[in-house]
Amino acid sequence: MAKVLNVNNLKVYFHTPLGPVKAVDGISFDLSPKERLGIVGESGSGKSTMAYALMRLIKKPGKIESGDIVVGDENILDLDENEMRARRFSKISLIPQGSMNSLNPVMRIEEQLIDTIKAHDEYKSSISKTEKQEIVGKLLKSVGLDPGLGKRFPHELSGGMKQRVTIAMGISLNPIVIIADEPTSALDVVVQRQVMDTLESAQERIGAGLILVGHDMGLMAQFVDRIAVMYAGKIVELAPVETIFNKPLHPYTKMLINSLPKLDSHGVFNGIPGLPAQLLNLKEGCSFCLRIGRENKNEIPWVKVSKSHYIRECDVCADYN
Amino acid sequence: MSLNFILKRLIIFIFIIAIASSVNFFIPKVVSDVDPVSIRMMEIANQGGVYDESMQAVAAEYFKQFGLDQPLWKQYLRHLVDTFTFDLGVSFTYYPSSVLGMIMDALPWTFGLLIVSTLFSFLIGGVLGALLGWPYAPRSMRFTVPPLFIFSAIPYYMLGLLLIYIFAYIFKIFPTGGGYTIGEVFNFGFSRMINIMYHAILPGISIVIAELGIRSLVTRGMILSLYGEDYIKLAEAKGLPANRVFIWYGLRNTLLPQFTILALHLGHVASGALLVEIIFGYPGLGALLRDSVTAFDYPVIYGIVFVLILGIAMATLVLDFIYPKIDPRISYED
Amino acid sequence: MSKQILEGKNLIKIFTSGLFVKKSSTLAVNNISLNIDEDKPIIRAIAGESGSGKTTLARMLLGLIKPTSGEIKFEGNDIFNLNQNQKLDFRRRVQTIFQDPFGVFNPFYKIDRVLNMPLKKFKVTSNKTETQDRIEFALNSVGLRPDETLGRFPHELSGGQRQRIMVARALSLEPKVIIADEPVSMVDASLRATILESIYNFKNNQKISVLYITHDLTTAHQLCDDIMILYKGNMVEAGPIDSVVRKPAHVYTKHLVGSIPFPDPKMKWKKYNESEKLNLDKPSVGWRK
Repeated sequence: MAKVLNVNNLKVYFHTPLGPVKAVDGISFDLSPKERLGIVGESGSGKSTMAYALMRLIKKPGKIESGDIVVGDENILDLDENEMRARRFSKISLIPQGSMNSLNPVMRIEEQLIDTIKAHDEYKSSISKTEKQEIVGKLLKSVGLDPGLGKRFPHELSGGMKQRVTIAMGISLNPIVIIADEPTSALDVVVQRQVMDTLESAQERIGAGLILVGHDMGLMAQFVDRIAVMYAGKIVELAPVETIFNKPLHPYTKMLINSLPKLDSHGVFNGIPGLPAQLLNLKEGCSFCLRIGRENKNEIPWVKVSKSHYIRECDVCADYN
Repeated sequence: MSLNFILKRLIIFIFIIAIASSVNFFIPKVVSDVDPVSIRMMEIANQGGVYDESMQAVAAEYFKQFGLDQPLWKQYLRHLVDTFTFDLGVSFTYYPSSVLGMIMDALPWTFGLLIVSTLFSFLIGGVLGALLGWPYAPRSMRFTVPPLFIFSAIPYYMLGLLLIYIFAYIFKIFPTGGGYTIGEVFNFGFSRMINIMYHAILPGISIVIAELGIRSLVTRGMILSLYGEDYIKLAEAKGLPANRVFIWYGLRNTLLPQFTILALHLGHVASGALLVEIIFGYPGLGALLRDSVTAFDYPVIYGIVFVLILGIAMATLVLDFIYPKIDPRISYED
Repeated sequence: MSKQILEGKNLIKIFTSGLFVKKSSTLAVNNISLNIDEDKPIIRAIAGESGSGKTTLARMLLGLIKPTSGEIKFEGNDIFNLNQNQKLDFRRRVQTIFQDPFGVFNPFYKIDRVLNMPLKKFKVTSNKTETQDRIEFALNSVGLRPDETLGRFPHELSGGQRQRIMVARALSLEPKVIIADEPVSMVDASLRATILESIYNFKNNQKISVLYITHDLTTAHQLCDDIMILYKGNMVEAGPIDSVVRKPAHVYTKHLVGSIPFPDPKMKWKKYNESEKLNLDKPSVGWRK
């Protein structure tokens, strides 16, 4: 089965006056159709930057330094701006974080749903009013919303509804890769479950691969097939979800899992010491060692532990915990 | 928009008019003890009229005419009623021309000039400013910023003088003033329109350019702060063409603050326009104001002030009603 | 009968819209009572989805909104009828931590201001050294280093750090009750533990009671002694945290528990069913033992 996404040694650096910020520093992974990959990391780990890099939306002073991003059968880094614009949302789409503000406040929902479609070449010929109603109605129904909502403005919808509208947008052109960037961060648990359920059905219906970016391991456990744990711009562990939860190898992964409250941890708080790594002027070697007060300046190898389990193996911190 | 709100707003409007009218009534009473009729009589006497008992009778008659023999509260009520029936009194200088009539003659000129130039500066300034703030506009646009700064600092009338000097005096392209060429005979219609417009260009331009500076810089500021918003990011992520993002996602969202500024700005523009009229000898309210001030023609002065207040109050009323159409997030429900 | 610090009796809040003609009304809080004893500090969760009335309830208890009916008393006095001194005391002793760690800071001022000002206004300290000491103690209690935090602007710190400063601020005033409205929902999941731990210690170390408003039952379970479940403004179930969360009695509580994302791939959510939402309006089961 051909992969829908292949990312190879991707590097995205921000060249600020204070020095380089290595937000994404050599990331590789792939994605199969209908698969769900979770990218987990704390704020400042570079995960959002990576999501935007996959859409080639990195702006100055950020730059995709090197690497390949192969969507389907073409490397999108080789395309020019116009070709890339045509691919956005039609081959690879984004469901953004916190839909509080992701919808244009002065435009009706149906307009925003339609202009995605109209902007892409295949549909260049103008869409009639009845066609528009039909398309919008179908899209809204597919995410469990009443077709009548098309006439409303974003502020008239609740948070969960707005998020589902952005899901509808994200699938409207049947892309092969969907990136969901913390789609439920502003929602309560009940709505979160509903939205994730909608996302799941939508993804299955169009057969796309999905990347879920976030910081909530609990949500990951419920939703994804594989997890990539990011720290300081690098992936430190990549494995199927059961392996991550039952047999994590990297000390950072272990700490992340330990810090999660379960229903038997009353009064027990396992915080993660220290602060997330500063991406500015990142030192060479193992970033996690620095967090726990150790040091390893060598380049940390990306090691295959078993069939689908990879880690960044640093012997200096491997025994932590 | 609920009926509640419309009623409330209209009541506020009427209240504003009543207050303006009251101020118009009380200020002259407070400022000078002597009534205007006597002053006028003195002036006439000084110009060579004879002052004797018959003048007293004339004065008394005038008193009655102007209602000055009534107790204060009656005069006040009379005044309010007059205001609401649009009776602004009669001019002293051009007695007995009605103030309202004189103002109505001058108003269309001012109105035309004001509306057209404000509209132009709104459009040009808005788009120019937006382009300046948009990161993907051509770099050469940056060069327009210094001239804009300079323009925004120059008062309207100075600009007017400058324009007259350059274009009417040195280059003799445009007329030096007037609403239309005096002495010419026109048939009503097209050629008259053209002539009027020809005369309106310089005064119009001086208002537009003076406004342009501030408007475009303000719009630029708005677009800059707008640019980081999440919905712009999503619009780009969707692969929308750049100009659609700029116009419908960027520019469109600046409309509400722009309209607000327009409302606040109106008073400023109105007063500025009057000065421009004076410079250009344009037969609008400005000229009328200048004449009536030099001649101490109080009823006309008060009438003009009142009309200005009325105009601005109406403009803000209309803008208040338009707001929900521009920005759907605004509703006047609780 | 031990003294009540904070007491809310039969609180009802109805929001109406429309000025002269009443257009629509929303029943946000429907007959909820709760009290906090002086001698028995407690950490209590008030849980529900958005729209359940929990934030409205918190705002009423803080005196920010007036209830449509019902009483709120602080140390026996109606909080809407206090004299100047009593009011100052109320504001000091009933503190709050808000959800958004960015919005609460004025970006133009250093974070020191948010720590200094309350101490000055409430006249807790009388000179600069006292204030400084107190602030440093509070910062240390929440796991922050004063030399790394003081003198900085809000944008120079992370969300987690800012929220901890808010906790330190509340602590420095020696309150009796802290009402924390979703204090960690905008903080990374992995960093929540430290903040929650400092709140947890309030009860034992400083004898402060906490009302923890949330929609997240897992952190509620980690942190709290008992819990009140709110649904559409009503309290549908309440009791010791373990009983309510592990063995829910009311159908809505079961629904809420079923939405928890368990960090265990083997315990997946059941498939979401729209019809689940229809039968949740059952009568309250009250306080459980």
